[in-house]
Amino acid sequence: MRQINVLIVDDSELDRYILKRQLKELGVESVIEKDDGSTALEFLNDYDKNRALYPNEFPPVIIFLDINMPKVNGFDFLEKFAKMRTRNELASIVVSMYSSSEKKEDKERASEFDFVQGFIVKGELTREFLEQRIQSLR
Amino acid sequence: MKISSKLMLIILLTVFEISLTLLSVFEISKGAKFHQLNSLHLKYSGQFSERVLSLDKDSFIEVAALQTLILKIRQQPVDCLQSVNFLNKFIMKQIGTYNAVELCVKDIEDADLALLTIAKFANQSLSQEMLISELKIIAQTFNTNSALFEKPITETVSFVMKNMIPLVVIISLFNILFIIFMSRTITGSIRSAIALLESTNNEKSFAEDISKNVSGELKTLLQVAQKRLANEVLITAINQDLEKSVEQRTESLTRANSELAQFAYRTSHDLKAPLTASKLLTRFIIKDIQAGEIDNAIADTHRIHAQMEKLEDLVVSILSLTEADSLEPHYCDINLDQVMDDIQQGLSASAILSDCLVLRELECPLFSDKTRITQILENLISNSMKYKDQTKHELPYVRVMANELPDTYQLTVADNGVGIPQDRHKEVFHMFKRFHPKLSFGSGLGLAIVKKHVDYLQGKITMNTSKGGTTFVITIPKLNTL
Repeated sequence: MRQINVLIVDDSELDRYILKRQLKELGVESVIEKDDGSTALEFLNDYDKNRALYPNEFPPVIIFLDINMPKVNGFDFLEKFAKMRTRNELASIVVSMYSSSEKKEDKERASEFDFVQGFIVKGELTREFLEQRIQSLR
Repeated sequence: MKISSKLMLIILLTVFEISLTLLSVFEISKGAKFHQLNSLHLKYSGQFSERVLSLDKDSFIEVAALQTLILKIRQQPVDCLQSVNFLNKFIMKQIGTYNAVELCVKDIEDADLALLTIAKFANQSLSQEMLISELKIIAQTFNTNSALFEKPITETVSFVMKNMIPLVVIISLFNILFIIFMSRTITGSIRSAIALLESTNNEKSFAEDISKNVSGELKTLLQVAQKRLANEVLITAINQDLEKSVEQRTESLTRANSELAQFAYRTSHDLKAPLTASKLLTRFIIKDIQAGEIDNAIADTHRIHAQMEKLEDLVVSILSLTEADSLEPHYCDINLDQVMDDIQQGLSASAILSDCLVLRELECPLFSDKTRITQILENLISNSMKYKDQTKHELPYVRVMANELPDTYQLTVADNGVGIPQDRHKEVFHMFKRFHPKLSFGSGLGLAIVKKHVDYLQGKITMNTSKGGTTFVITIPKLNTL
């Protein structure tokens, strides 16, 4: 079974904890957490350094991205990441939104980015759905 | 001078000119008539002389025929005198031709004398011989009268022609010049009015210019036009104001609406989030207990507890926020020390108070709305405690001050906490804004509640914040100054 590297970007410690635990139940152990879009972008940008620092966990295959964050929010992250993603080593990363927003316009805005796959509303995340997402990446 | 008066003057002058022309023509034609009458007189007196000369003492005298002829001769001077008016007499007296009138009178007298003589003859009180000699003298007199009459009439007519025609010509020329002059002054005043209208002066000096430079009907015209224009400008301005206020209302309604929608969305979301998280956490706890992972279960239980506290905090805040809108005003003397005691006691129940120093400098009692003042202070103090800066060497503190100024009370809450980021000062009093989510949880409603209460008290709140700490100054007008 292929190892899935996950990056969770969310300012809520509790939400990160819950998602991490749910992933763990599905056998996904390799999880890195970032509390804001800004720190996540820095983390992805320092590719070589982090590749050396986290040989097993970096780069991520999927990013779970919150929308509402204090410094760089989810959409700002998506726009900056879209530019950064032209680099070969980041090109295969997909993003899944992980937000408490149920707004239709947020979903539409996120779906404009072709690398965004799935829009998970916090609290509505089922084990089956998460399993399906993980399986598709394996 | 009014334009209408100028025009009236032109008309009067023209009427005078025409009258004078007509009068001249009439007088000249009258002269011709006199000549005609005189030639008629000459003709009849010729016939009369002829008849008288053919008479001798034996011939039969036709009395009636003679009388008829004399009456005919008498008729011309009578016509003449009827035609001569006062003006003619005056002129003739002036130029020395009045003897023509006197001749007419004399001629009539001569004719009357002839008739009398014939009447005497008919009465046989006069002999035929005497009659014939008398009539001969009279016939001679008629002829002489006619001859004398011609000269003064010719003189009078030529005087009229010599004087009236040049006068008419001069007056006509003067009239033409006068009309040209008048039309130029009229055009000139219209032009100056136009120039005045075209000049871009302000309204007040324009009114002055009108009264200074324009007169008569043009002045009235300009003043009426100005009034009318000013009215229209006023109406346009009123309409624009109306449109603007409608726009502003619409905008503020739209804003209020979207704020309300946002409020509803955020509250429902923020109420739901801790509940869904707790639901998941309970599932984890059950699993952990089943697996014997007691430490994990305890940690998750603490997490649930924190979520419940968050929930409680949010519900309390929402209640305060709605209460801020519905509170009945209730002013009373406020003992701020008492209020502070209550607030501190309430806050001590939660962990945040712990090591934060509360300093009081309450110089005055307050006469205001106790509930609102309490909520303002409670929110500000609890913020100071929540966002204390533990990296600083000095102890965290919050200083609460109250001063009385002539018209206002001033409340100050100052701390040495972490401050609010520079780029987010504008959002401070908005709902659901949180600047240090890591330091402490909160509803993001505290300062919005404070602002609402300050607004209801018609006060002002200012903030001064830096990394060294934050100071809020609230100024509330005294009730008697409102």
